[in-house]
Amino acid sequence: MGKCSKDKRDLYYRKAKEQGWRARSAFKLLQLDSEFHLFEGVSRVVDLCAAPGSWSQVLSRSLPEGTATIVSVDLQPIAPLPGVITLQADITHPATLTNILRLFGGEPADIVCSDGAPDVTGLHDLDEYIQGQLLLSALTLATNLLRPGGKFVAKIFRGRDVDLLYSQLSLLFEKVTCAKPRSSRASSLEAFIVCEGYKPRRGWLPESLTLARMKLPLYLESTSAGSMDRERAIAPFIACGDLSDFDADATYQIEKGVGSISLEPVQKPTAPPYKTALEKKRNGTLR
Amino acid sequence: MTVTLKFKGLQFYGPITALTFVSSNLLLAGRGSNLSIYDWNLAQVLKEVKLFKRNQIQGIVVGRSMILIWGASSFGFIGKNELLEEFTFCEYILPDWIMMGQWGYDGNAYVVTAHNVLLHISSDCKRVERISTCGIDCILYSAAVFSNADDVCVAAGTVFGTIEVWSSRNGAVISSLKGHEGSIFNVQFSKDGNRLVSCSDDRSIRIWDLHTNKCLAVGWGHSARIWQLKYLDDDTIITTGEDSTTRVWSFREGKLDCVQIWEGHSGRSIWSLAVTDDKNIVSTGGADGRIRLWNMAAKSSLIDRRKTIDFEDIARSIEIKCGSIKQYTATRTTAYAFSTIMGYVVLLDTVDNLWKKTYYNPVLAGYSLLKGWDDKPYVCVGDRQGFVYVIGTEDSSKCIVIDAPSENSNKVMDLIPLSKGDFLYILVQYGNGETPWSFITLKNHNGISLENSVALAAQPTFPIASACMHPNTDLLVVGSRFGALAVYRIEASQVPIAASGCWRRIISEDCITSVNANYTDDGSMDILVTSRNGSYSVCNVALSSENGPATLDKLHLNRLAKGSIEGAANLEEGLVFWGFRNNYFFVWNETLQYEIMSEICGGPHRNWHFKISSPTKFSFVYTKASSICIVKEVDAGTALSANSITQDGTHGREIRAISVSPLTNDRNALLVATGAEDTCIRLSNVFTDGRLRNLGVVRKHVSGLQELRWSPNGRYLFSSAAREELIVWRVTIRGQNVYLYPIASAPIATDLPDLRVMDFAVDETMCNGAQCYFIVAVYSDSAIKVWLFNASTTDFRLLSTGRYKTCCIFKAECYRSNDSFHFLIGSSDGHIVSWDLSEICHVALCSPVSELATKSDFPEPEWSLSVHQSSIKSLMIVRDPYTSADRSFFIVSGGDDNSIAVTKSTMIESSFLPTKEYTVADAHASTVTSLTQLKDNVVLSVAVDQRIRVWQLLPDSECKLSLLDETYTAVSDTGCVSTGTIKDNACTTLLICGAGLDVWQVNKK
Repeated sequence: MGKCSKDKRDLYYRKAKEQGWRARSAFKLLQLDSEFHLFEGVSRVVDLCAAPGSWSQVLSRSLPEGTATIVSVDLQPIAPLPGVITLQADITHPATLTNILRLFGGEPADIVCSDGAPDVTGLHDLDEYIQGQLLLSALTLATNLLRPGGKFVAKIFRGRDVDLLYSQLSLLFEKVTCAKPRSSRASSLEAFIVCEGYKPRRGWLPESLTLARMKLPLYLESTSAGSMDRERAIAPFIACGDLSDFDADATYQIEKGVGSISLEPVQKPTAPPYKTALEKKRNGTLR
Repeated sequence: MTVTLKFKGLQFYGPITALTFVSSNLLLAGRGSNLSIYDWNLAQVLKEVKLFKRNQIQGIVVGRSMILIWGASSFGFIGKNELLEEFTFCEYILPDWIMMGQWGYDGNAYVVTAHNVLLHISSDCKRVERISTCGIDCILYSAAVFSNADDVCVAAGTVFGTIEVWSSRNGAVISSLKGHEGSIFNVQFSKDGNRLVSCSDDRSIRIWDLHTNKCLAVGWGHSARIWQLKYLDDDTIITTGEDSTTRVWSFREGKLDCVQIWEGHSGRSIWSLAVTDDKNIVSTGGADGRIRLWNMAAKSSLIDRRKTIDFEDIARSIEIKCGSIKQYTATRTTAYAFSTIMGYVVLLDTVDNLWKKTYYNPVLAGYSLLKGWDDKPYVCVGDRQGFVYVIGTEDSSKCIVIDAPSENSNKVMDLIPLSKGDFLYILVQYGNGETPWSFITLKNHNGISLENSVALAAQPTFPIASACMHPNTDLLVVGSRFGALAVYRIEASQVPIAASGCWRRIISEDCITSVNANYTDDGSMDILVTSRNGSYSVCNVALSSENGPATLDKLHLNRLAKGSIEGAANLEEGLVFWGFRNNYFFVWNETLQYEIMSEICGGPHRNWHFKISSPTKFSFVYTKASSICIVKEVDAGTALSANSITQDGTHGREIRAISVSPLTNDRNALLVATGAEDTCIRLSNVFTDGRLRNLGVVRKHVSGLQELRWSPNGRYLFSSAAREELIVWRVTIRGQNVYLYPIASAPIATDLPDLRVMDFAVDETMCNGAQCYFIVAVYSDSAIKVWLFNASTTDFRLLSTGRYKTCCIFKAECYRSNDSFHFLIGSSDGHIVSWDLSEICHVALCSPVSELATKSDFPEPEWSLSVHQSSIKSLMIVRDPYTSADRSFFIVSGGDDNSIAVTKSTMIESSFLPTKEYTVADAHASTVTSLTQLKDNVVLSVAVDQRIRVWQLLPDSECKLSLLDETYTAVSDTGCVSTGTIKDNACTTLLICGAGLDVWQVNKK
């Protein structure tokens, strides 16, 4: 979250800075919680794809001190947060699971959440697929960690195959809801999947989520039209956050004088991969 | 009453996600799930065929006899010889995404999945012979396969920025190349497999030595992500990316340099790239749906033919002490003339490459002005005493000196050569601004002779910059350096001839760099005016009577978004502009929207001359560091050079607004306006077969478009965007041309750059004999403004301001019922709210002009109803098809909550109230972004799940929707939809927009 002209524009962005959140996405989790009471009776939480750490901040502020273990995982380093154990690790790596379980003293997690998203390319099919894979990785880890009845919350893109995803998730959880917090713009494809009541069928293995993609054919056979229409389902939709909350799509007139003051970012932005290219452009060495 | 409809997909204009050349003349392109086959020599589409049920074609590779095609999780094969025949295509589905496909040395096909699994497919395309992995199964964004008798190797470009090269023989990782930051978007093996080239999120290109695993060179240049790369030869690489450029890179002496940059796509991303076997032709396909061809040979020869001449050498070769160059001009078609500081006129004939001293006059030393006729063997020179010399460049003895108008005349300030038929003309302006201008007529028949010279009354503060003669009349049009335009009748009898009209600030106060007059049917003229500020305009000038004053009407105004405009030519191939941007000179085809050439010349502050007769025949000469540089393209005469656009497309960014005009410029097509996130409005024709013809791109908005609506009579277009922009465009249809002129903008009340005019409702009315419009606009800060726009005075009058709450209002609609006027909004809090605005409109129409300032209070809503859980993204009013009077309406709305709701609004006593409500909660799997009415009781919805659904509105008693039909669109991120009927056609044309434009035909079964 840098320091830029967006300050004057997005109210959530500004409020995030004022309230000391590392990203405006903190409000999304707060609003999801107000609808689903995600943190009730929770003592072990995993935050995946956690950098820069705004969801972990919400978790540590929402859960009474000393009552819960919060583990935040990301490939990128996360600046230390009070009451949060940060792990710089790959969520698909088996060692990550072991490490988290060790931190929980071998006990299962009550809730696993993930606000992770890839850098979108603009090729919507590909972006939706990559986001789906990211979610599947998070879900695989979650199913290894969750206690029966546990919760899983993750970001999704509501594109052309979102209904396939719903039907997959509904096999693992009692209740699957697609939720859109008011702090998420209506113009964005983003929404959150809230899965409650983890209940895997008997004999079900978490590996089966990723093994499906390894079931490669030996003979090429034309797929019949019927089998291509894999099972699709539409998860019930819930808008969360109060109507009196700020609207992410609306333009607000900020009090005179306040808007012109630029707030220091709570957390400096992580270095983008193209920072060298930007420097070269600034120096005028690129055409 | 059941309705059955038949849908037929006609055309898809969206991202070109795959391209490849086959044999000598075919080009294959993936457009959505369709394969398009073109003859690229003829720029003709030969065949279009749908291959995949839903998936997009993302790659095509040609083998010995078969072609492998893949996209998402689908793939399949087509026989090379079957392409133009009837063929059956089997779609195979893998349980994972396919990252790439390739043919091996052994005729086998190889497919790499997004999780780094290699499938070896037998050459008969029937069996998967082997599946290889290397133990690294993270997500890939790219892959390449290299095969020879020893091994089949995979280079996997991972999401973590490494490139893992592994052997399929034993699954061992051979090299793990580290250096890039961010995802690897493309990777290619060199022909011999010794090297690798890659590109990534970090915007660099890297060449790797696979023996040492060292990075040999890094190339920087792209200003955004790089999507595609290909080897042209061992040391030449071509790339395309998100910055909309195609670049050629040369690897020399350990350095990777960008040697060419090509621009010719709209929007951002260029997704696909293909090269012919002989490496002469490159094809690119963009998010704009356009397929371009680039002639490598012509591009290289243009560079080869660039000449740089040191002027000292010339002076020596013609043995004169000529001093430095003052000016250039072209003369005839093959020669350039130069004037020098010492008073010489020197000629370079480019046919025999000889320099000639053409003319010398010591009077011209120190001060002279040289201009020429591009296609005539004469140049003209003005001196410091007001004399004008016309000099023959083929025969320098043919020289005429035209006296200054009086003995103590000032120097020639400027002179402009013109011609028409057998006559040459020179317009001369003198140093003292008050001296009448001279208009000299010369006859060019068996030599040159002076016909006459007439005086034109000078316009005050009017330094001439450009002029043209009307081709059919005696009208002379003159443009000034301060942005004014004047028109003279050369054959008028009074002396000096007074201007028939003079208009200031035609575009701005910047120089009018060129004027071009065209005859119109009604005897008036349409003048194309270009300005140094980068804008151009079309003005209509009409003379009321023989000697009466002229009137000027502005028809069109547009901005190039390239740089300054220094000149224009109306060629058969389109309207061409040239000018400067930063340190380079560009030539741009505005009609077809592509750059013809560009030259890094150092910028506009130099002597230069440009002439063009076709996109493949032009020359540019300029001074750089006391040398003369000549860049010249001679007509290659190939079909390719004329047909560099194989397939045209549309906006390169998401289309957010579409509106079909009630009028058209072509009776066989719809006239359609689209607005996109690229901030442009595009006008196009859509034909019955779904073909698209682009009419022009209009740039004025500074942010992405929110909404576009034509007035019911088709004479005005309204557009809205952020920064409170609400613009009214006057529409002029002239033959096939459609002009748009921004006649007014709604006044702005705040300085909030994000304050968007989300939508607006338009109601056409008459007020004191003038065409007027009630425009009710809704804003992202919850404001509602009622405007009265008077089309004849172009006055915007704010009648009333209301505010809903604090949330964003997405949609606005209005309807009339007898005498009452009702207005509805769909808001981000899921509410539909209705107001009766009859009183406000009534007061506005009755109040005299003197009370313009009086504003009405915004009334309380008639009703407000919560119908969706979150934002309402689409809203439509349908007249109740089951009752005849205007007393009942169905309000159909689509939300971010996947649902479609129907609310019935019925007149009860004297006001409307919602009487029934019905919701289909899971109408779609995602946001319902658009709705349109197909028939009386049939509506169509489109959502981000890319499904199109058709619903029947059941009668009054039920107020229900029943699903009639559904289909799937290749357009992702859908945003808007519109329909229209082309004259004499029984079918409705359906246009679905988002990341592309999908054209469908709907008819009753």
